[in-house]
Amino acid sequence: LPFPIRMAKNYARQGDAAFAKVDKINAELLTLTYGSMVSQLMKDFEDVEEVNKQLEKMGYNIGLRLVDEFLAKSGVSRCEGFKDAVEIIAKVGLKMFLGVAAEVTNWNTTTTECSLVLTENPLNDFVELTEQYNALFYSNILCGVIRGALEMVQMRVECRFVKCQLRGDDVSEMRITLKEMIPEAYAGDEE
Amino acid sequence: HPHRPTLMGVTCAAVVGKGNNPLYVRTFGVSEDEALRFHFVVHTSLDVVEERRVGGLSDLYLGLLCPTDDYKVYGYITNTNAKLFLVTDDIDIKEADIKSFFRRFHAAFVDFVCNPFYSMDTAITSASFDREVVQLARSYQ
Repeated sequence: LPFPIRMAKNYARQGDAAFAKVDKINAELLTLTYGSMVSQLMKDFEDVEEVNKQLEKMGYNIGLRLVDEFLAKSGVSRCEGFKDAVEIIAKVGLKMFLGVAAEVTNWNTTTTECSLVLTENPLNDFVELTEQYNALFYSNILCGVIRGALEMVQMRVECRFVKCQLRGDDVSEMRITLKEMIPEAYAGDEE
Repeated sequence: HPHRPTLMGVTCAAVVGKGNNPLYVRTFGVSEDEALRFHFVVHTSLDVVEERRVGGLSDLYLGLLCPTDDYKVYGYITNTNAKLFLVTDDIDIKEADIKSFFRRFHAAFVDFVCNPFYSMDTAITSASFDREVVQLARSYQ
């Protein structure tokens, strides 16, 4: 079923509004700080796969904490399932925290898997990957943030990059798969 | 002299580190053997840079450093003591063009240095920086 277009338009507007309200910092500071962190991880771990994992883990810890801030500041009310959640992340969450919104595309038939496509990514500015970093997913922290954030709203997902502009692709693309809805724990029986 | 077709007359653009170590030497329209000559030309210009600097420069643009038989070498120093060189065989070259070249060369260098995977003061092997410099040189044709 096509996602209602008017809802998509609302989210874009909410994303712009949220972005306008939050405190800003210099974009180059973010870019250079992140870059310095990735390059330090490479020096410490020396293995690209390990660095990918570390970035995802860091992102996961950010995502767990970010969700409360996001829900409080963005004015977004409770989401209605996976499809809705991904739209919110793409249009409101990413816009608010990264300054750029993403497109949600390529849904599978059961609406449990889709792509988030970024045509711009401020984390990538100035970065150039040489041969030895071919397997590095430079912005993998974003995958972790999404996984952590969705876990806090009872969705267990897998998120990974399938296309990256630093590797020569025309866009950056994350593939998100819903693995299961996590049942909320009940405080205890009340009789 | 038979006129050698070059871009603007940009025969060579170079970056030298603060320890006077060459980081990037790009030649245009010359053979590989001749290209080596430009390493030498840039190296000898470094002495002139030192002389000019002692005078307590406020300007980054150092001007004409040495006119050799066929070429003129212009210099520019960044605030972090990296030196940029422009070698040209164009006798009619305007100072405004030289200054604007150096401003844009400096800007490209500054952007490049922000790459977190580049170790400061090492040889510049980036293909995209090279492309930028080639494009920059071409824009003065």
